[in-house]
Amino acid sequence: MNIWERFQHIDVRIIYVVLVVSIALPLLFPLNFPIEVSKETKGAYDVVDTLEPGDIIIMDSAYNPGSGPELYPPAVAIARHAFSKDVRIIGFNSWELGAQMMQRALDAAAADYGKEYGVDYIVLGYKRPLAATIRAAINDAWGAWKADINGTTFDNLPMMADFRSIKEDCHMIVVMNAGSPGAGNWVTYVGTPSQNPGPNNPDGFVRTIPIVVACVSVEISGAKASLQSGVYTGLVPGGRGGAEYELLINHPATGVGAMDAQSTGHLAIILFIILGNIGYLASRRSA
Amino acid sequence: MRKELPLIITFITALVCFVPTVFKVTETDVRAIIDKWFVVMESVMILMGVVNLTRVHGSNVRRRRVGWIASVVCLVTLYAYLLLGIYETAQGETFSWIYDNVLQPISTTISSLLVFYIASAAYRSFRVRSREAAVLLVAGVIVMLTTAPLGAMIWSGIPQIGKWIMDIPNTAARRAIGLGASLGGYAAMIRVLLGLERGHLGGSGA
Repeated sequence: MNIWERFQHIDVRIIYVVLVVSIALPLLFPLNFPIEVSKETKGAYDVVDTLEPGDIIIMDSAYNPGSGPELYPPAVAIARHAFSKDVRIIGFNSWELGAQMMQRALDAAAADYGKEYGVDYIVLGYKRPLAATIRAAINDAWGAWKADINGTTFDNLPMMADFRSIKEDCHMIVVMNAGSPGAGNWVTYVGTPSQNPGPNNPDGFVRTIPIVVACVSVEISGAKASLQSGVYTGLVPGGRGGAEYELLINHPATGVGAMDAQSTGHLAIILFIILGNIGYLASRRSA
Repeated sequence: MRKELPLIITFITALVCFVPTVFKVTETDVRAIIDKWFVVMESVMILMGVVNLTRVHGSNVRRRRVGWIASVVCLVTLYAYLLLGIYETAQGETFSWIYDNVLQPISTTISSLLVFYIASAAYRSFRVRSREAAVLLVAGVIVMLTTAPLGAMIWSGIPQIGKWIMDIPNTAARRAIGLGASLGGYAAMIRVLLGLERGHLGGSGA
């Protein structure tokens, strides 16, 4: 076996060590690679930018801490953008472990703009079953959700006086989406216009509420189809989208910091793939 | 009647939910009632999950099966965190501390470990064994470089090609898969509706 053929059998431990170094070093010593803002992220930013002071949006934390590195930065960035426009936020949680992530993201963004819990934002916590509570909240949010994550009833949360139903009072849905359940529920029950009157929809709910989705990288391929077809109004794609959003609001943070590591990590994987193929072609030629 | 009754209930329930949505006719009060039942059923399902977990792991501990210590840890964690959450609420100091310093790092670590498996798997499996494999390899590398800022630094054309791959061939394939899955879903629903699919009754199907 010559040196070229050996590239086909690199010890997995070497791959792991190279990966650790290639990811850790740029986090410790930033390389500051330039980040170009994509059309998708700019589009999502523009959609959020259309909100007016006093509007109320729902931000759904449909992820758990495992997806935090990709979805926490856009959550904070979008919340900052909304608060900068005096938009109020209702934190919702499609995933049981997402409640604390949403609370932390909104607290961090609120601190920058002097926003107050209960007046400018609240966190609902985890409400099951998702589909049924969303359907009910379309016409009666107070009846469907009743209280926030701390058990404080809506009577004692001043901003909820202006939010009686999704149908009348919600101006946008923003979903931090790591899978299912998540954006799908909002698309099905809120984002899709329906003219069917009924107990859950007495007047024939015809208004389409914009849905902006920030998704993890593995979801991008499916999310692109939803964006192109207009199901999603805006898309913040993956960790890179979060970094781009941070740049758009002039508040670079952890999302931008992670992009150097993503670059070098991807480069390391590509180099190993190339080396493996060199070894494969060399062994085929000698055989 | 043990089989017929569940089938009749399934048929009526599916019809009540399906017809108003598809044929755009007025929803009935029954649909709203089913929604409320669903809320109750979900709560019962969570309770059943806790009871089932307790039974399975309780049995492991009683019979000292292999790994019974892990079952003890599982049960203690389940009930301790549950009681703590009820006592302190989700915003409690200790509850949040455990979430921030145990649950979150563990969850993030497990997700992060995936990168090593993916890198190792990509290295071993991405070989140019055929023309199709070569196309897959090149497309994969371009998309990887597109999602990282480094791609544009190497060559400004990389993000444009990567975007084309994601916007055109990828989206076309995703839509085709989505349509196929949806049609399959409809077929499965009609089978359940007509009683041809009986897996949910505990049997082996038609």
